[in-house]
Amino acid sequence: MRYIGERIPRVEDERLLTGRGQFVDDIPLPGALEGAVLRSEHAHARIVALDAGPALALPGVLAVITAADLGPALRPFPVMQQHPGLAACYNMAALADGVVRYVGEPIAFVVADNRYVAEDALELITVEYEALPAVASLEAALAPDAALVHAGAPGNLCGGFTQGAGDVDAALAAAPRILHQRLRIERGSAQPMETRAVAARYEDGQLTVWSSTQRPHRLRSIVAEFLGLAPEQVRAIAPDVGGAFGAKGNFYPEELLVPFAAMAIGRPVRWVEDRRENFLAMTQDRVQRFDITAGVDGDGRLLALKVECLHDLGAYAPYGFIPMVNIANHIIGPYKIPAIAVTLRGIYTHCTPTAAYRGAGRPQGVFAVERTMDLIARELGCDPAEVRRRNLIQPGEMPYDTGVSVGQSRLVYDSGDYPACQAAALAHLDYAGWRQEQGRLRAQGRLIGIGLANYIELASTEPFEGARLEATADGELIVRTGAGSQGQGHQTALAQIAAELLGLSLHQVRVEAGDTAGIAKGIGTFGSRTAILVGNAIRVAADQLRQQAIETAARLLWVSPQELEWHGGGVQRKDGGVQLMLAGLARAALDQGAPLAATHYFANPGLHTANGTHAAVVEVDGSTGVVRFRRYVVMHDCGIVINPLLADGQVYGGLAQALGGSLYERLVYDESGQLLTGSYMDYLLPTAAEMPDVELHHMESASPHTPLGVKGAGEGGSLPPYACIAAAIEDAIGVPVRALPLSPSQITALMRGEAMG
Amino acid sequence: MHEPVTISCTVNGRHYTRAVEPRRLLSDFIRHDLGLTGTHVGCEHGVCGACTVLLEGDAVRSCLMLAVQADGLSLMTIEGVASPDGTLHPLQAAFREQHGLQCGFCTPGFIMSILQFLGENPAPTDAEIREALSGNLCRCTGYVQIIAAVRQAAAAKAGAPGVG
Amino acid sequence: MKPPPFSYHAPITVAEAIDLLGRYDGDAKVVAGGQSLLPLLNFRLSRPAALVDINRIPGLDYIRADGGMLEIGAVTRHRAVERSAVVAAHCPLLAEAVRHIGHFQIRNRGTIGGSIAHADPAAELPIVLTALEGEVVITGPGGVRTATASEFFITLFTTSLGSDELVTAVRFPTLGPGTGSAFQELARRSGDFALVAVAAALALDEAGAVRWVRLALGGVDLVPVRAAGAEEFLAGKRPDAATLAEAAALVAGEINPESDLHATAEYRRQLAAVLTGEALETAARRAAEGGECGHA
Repeated sequence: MRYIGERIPRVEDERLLTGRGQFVDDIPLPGALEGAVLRSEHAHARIVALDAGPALALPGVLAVITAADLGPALRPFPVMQQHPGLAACYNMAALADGVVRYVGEPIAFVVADNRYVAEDALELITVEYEALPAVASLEAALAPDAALVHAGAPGNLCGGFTQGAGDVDAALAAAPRILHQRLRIERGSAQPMETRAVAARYEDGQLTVWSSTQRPHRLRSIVAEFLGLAPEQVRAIAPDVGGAFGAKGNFYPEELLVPFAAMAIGRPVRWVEDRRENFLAMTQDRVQRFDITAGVDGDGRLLALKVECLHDLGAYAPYGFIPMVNIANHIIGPYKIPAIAVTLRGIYTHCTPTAAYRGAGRPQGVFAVERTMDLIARELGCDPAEVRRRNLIQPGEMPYDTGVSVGQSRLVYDSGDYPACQAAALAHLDYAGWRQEQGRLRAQGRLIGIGLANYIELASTEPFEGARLEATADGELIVRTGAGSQGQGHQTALAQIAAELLGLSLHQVRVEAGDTAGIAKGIGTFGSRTAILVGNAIRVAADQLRQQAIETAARLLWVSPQELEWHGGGVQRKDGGVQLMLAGLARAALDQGAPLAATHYFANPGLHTANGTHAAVVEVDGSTGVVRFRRYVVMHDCGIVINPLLADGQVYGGLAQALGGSLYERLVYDESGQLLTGSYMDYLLPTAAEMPDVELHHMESASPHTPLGVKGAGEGGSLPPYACIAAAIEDAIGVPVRALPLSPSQITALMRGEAMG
Repeated sequence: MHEPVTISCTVNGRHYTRAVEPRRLLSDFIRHDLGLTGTHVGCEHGVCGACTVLLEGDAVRSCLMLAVQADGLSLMTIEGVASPDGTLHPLQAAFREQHGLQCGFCTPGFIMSILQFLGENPAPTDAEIREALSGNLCRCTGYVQIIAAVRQAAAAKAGAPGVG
Repeated sequence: MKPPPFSYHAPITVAEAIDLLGRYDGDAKVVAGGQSLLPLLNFRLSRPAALVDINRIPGLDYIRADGGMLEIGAVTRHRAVERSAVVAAHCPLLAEAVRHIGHFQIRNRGTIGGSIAHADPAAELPIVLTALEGEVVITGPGGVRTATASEFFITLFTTSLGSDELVTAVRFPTLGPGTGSAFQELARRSGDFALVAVAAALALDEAGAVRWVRLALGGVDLVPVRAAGAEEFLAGKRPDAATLAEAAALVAGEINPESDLHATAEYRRQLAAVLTGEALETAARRAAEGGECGHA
C-alpha cells in the first residue's frame, strides 16, 4: 500500500478533537501540588535581602525554594551548542544568585496546595533590590559607558565570528557598483498557545518529569546531572505539546525547580506557566541589525557581499550562537555569490534571553539577502525578479558548493531547481499581469506593490536522531523516537513511512515519541529535521526488522532465509508458499527469545537544502497605511512530500507567524528593561481575519542524500514572508523599507518621509 | 466571605454540585474540579479563546467567568460535542479531514466558537468565517485549513438537515 | 494569573446591590459581564474586597423604545443589542457600533452597563453615547439620577459614578426622519480596541443643508470627545465632498491624541480625519436617503 505522498488525515486528531489530549496540565497526578515562580521586577539589580517568612506562614504553602536551598543544583545550565567564537558565554541557572539580569528572571519557587494560594504567597515574599543601571537595547549595550550584563563580558560582547568565501574586500574594491543598507528586525515571541508546563513525581527512587519540551533526552541528562541522580533514575516525557516553534527547546529553570521540589517535598509538583510569565520567561527571538555592503556589476549580478550583524542575545546565551550561525548560513540563499563575508557579534542586554524561534535566524538571513536583491533592483533600475533570476544557482550546478565552510564542513546544496521555482511562482501570481495592473491602479492613486522572495532552508541534522521499531504479538508495529511532536503530526507522517516501507496497513503502526523510556538516545524536534533523520532511521531499522523477521520465519519453517522474502507486511516463501504476517512473526520471535525489534540512530548524512519562492501583491491604503493582501503565492520544495496535507499546514503556519513578525508582533522594552507588550492586548498575534488567502504549490526536488528523498519542511513557510512583505510594501509606497515589523502608523510615517521611530 | 460556595450546574448534560472558592475561575472549575481537561487555558485574559465553552448555548471565555457565576446554568464543553458512541460531530470530522489542527491545544476553543457561529449562520461567506474565527488564536495552522474546515462543516450541515 | 481573594455577593434586587456597595464603601466592584473586570482580577491589577454580581437581579436586561428614547437595561448583553430589531430601528448608530466590540464571544457576555461604567476612551458605546447625547441612568441610595456623557466620563477608566451607585440603564435618543448616522473605526486587528473611532450623526434640512451634526471620537483623548469646531463649521452647509473634507481636517486639528505602542499622535490625527470624512459622508448619504427610521 502506498502511503508516502498521500494526503492522509492524521491519526492523532480524534483524541485532540474530542478533548482527550494529554498536555502536561491535563495529566492526572493525584495529590499534586502547584508551583509559582517569583520573578525579578528589575532588569538589573542586586538582591540585597529576601524574606519568605510571611509566605511560608500562609496556610496551604508547603515550600519557598530560594537560591540558597538549591545547593549543588545552583549553577549555570550547559549551553546548547559550543562555538569557537563564544568568548564570554553565560547561561542561566535555576534561580538568580545575588544578581538579576532581566525582568522575569526566577528568584524563588513557591509550592502550595494550588496555584491560587501559590500566587498569594508570591505577593507575601519581600525582596529588597538594589537597582542597577540596565542596558535594554543593542545601542544601549554598545554605548561607551554601558553597564555590563556580565562582568566577564566587556563591552557586553559575548563573542562573534566571521564566515565566508573568497576575498570580499578585493571583490568589493573591484566591483563596478557598491550599495549599502542597514536593516533591522525587532524582538518577537514564539507564543505557542500552550505555555510551558512541567510536572514531576519522585517515587521509589525514580523521578518522572513531564515537560512541554522539544528535547526530553537533554532534559533527562541535565536533571539527572544537576540533582545527583543516575540517568536511569530519571524518565522525561514530552506528552502532547501545544506548539513550541523552537522556544521549548531550551532547558529552563522550572524544569529543574519542579523536580527539585517534588523530591524535596515528597509529593508530585506541577507548574504551569501563565501567559504573563510566558512573555517574560520564555526565550524570545532577535533583535538583529544588519549593515550590508554589496558589490554588483552593471547587470545586477552580486559580486561581493559583506554583512555585519549585531545580534541581541538578551541576558544569557542558552543556545550559544545557534541563531547567528543560521543567519550566516542563510544569507547566501539560492544565489551565486563569489565573495562573501558575514560577521556576527552577539551582544548581551538586560532583556529576556533570545534563542530559537521558527527558523532560528534563517528568516533574518533570508531577509538580509532578499532585501539586498531589492536594493540592487532599485539602484540599478531593474526588475527585482530579473535581478534575482540573474543571480540564481542553476539546476545544472547541483550539488552546489557555496565555498563557505562551517566548522569542519562545507556548505554544499544538494538539489533543487531555483530558477524553475521562481518562474513558477511568478507565473502563478501572474507577475506580468500584476505589473500592468499596478501601473493602471497607480494612475488612480492606488498603491499596489508586488513582492518576491526566494529562500533555501538548511535542516538542522546534527548530530543524529533515532527510531526503534517493535513488532507486537497482536500485529502492531510501534515506532519509538526521541523526537516528539508539538503539532507537526509525527504520529501520522512517521507511521506513513514505516507502513509503506514494511507493507503494513497504516493503522497497524503506532508512533510513540518524546519519552526517554521508549528509546535510549534522542535529540529532539527542531530545525526541520524529523522527516530526514527519523524517517531514515525508520528506513534503516525497517531493513533490520525485515531481516529479523525473515530469520525468525526461517527458523519456524525449517527453511533457509534465502528461500524467504518480505512481502505485503509479512514473510513468504519465494516459491509462493506459506505467508506469515507480522503478529505471527512477532509471537514466533518472542518464543524464539529474540523479539522483533530494531533500533537505528541515523546520523547527519549531509546538508538537505529545501527551497521555495513567495510572491505577494499588496495594496497599501494611502490614507491609513493599512496593508491588504491581494494575492499570496507560495512555491515550496521540500523534496519528497510525505503527506501534502501536513506539509501544507506547516507552510501556512510558518507564513502566519512571519506575517505576525512583519506587520503585527513586536516586543517592546522601555529603557529600563521593562516589557511594555506583555499581554495579548499589546502583543498582536495574527487572527484568521489578518491571514491572506494563500495559493500553495509544491515542487519535489528529491534529496540525493537518502533513498527517501525528503528534506526539511518545518520552517520553510516562515523564512521568506518577512522579505516578501517588506518588498511588496516598499514597491507599493515607493519608499525603502529597512525595518520590521511595520504598523500602519509606521507605514504612514514612511510615506510622509519621516524616519522610523 | 472567602469561604467556599456550593454551586450546581449542568455540564454536557450531567449535573454537578461542588463547593468552590468565590475567586475560582470557571476554566479551572471545569478542568480541575470536574476533570474535563479538554477545555484549555491559553491566556487568562480573554484574548486567545482556548478556554471557550458554551454557556446556555453561547460561546464564552471560561477564564473570564467565575465558577460561582455558572451556578444554576448549563454548560457544554468539547467533551460533549461528539456523539455518545464516539462518532465525531461533522465539524470535528471537517477539522480532521482538512487538517484544521496541529498541536490541538486551541482546537476545543475553536470548535465551541464555531458551533455557535454555524448555528446562527449556517451558510457563511469566507469573510464572515474569518471574522467569526478572529476571536480564537491559533499559532500552528495559519488558519487556512481551519477556514476550509468551517466551509466543509457548513456544507455538510446544508446537505444533511438536522445534523449539528 | 489567578484572581486575589474576595468576597462574593449576588444580590437579587438593585436596592440590595446598592446596600452592599455602600457597606464596602468603595472597596467592592460590580461585576456584570466581567469581560473587562476579570482580566484585571486575573492580572491582580484590581483587588477589591468584594464583588457584587448583578447578573441575578431581574429586570436589568431589557431593550425598550418609547418617547423618542431607546432605553437599554444595564445587564443587557452586547449580543442582544446587536441582534435587536428594536435597536436597529430606533438607534442604527448603536447597532452599527456594537458589532465592533471585541469578538462575538465577548459580546455574548459583555454588557451595555459594564461597557459604559468601565469608561475605556476607545470603547464604542461611550463614543455613541457622546455622539447621541444620551444619558446614563444611575441608581443610588437616594434614588435614580441621570448623567450625560460629559457628566459621566471624568477621565481614563474613571466616571462620576459614586461608590454606592449602580448604572442601571443607558438611554439613547432616537434621531428620527431626516437624520443619518455612521460609525467608523480602525483597529490593528479584527476585534481589537480602536486606534481611533468616530461616530457621526447629523440632520439635513429640506434644502439639503446640515441642520445639526454631532461628531464624537474615541481613542484620541482620556474620554470620548466631541469635535465642536467641526460641528460648528458644518452647521448650515451642504455636505458636499469638499466641505466634509474640510470638516475632517478641522477634526484633526482640534483633538489631542497621544502616542502609544500602536500609533503615534500624528497618525491618530490623520486617522481621525480619514474616519471622520468617511463617517460624515455615510451619515449624510443616509440622511439624504430618508433618515434613521428608514434605513434600518
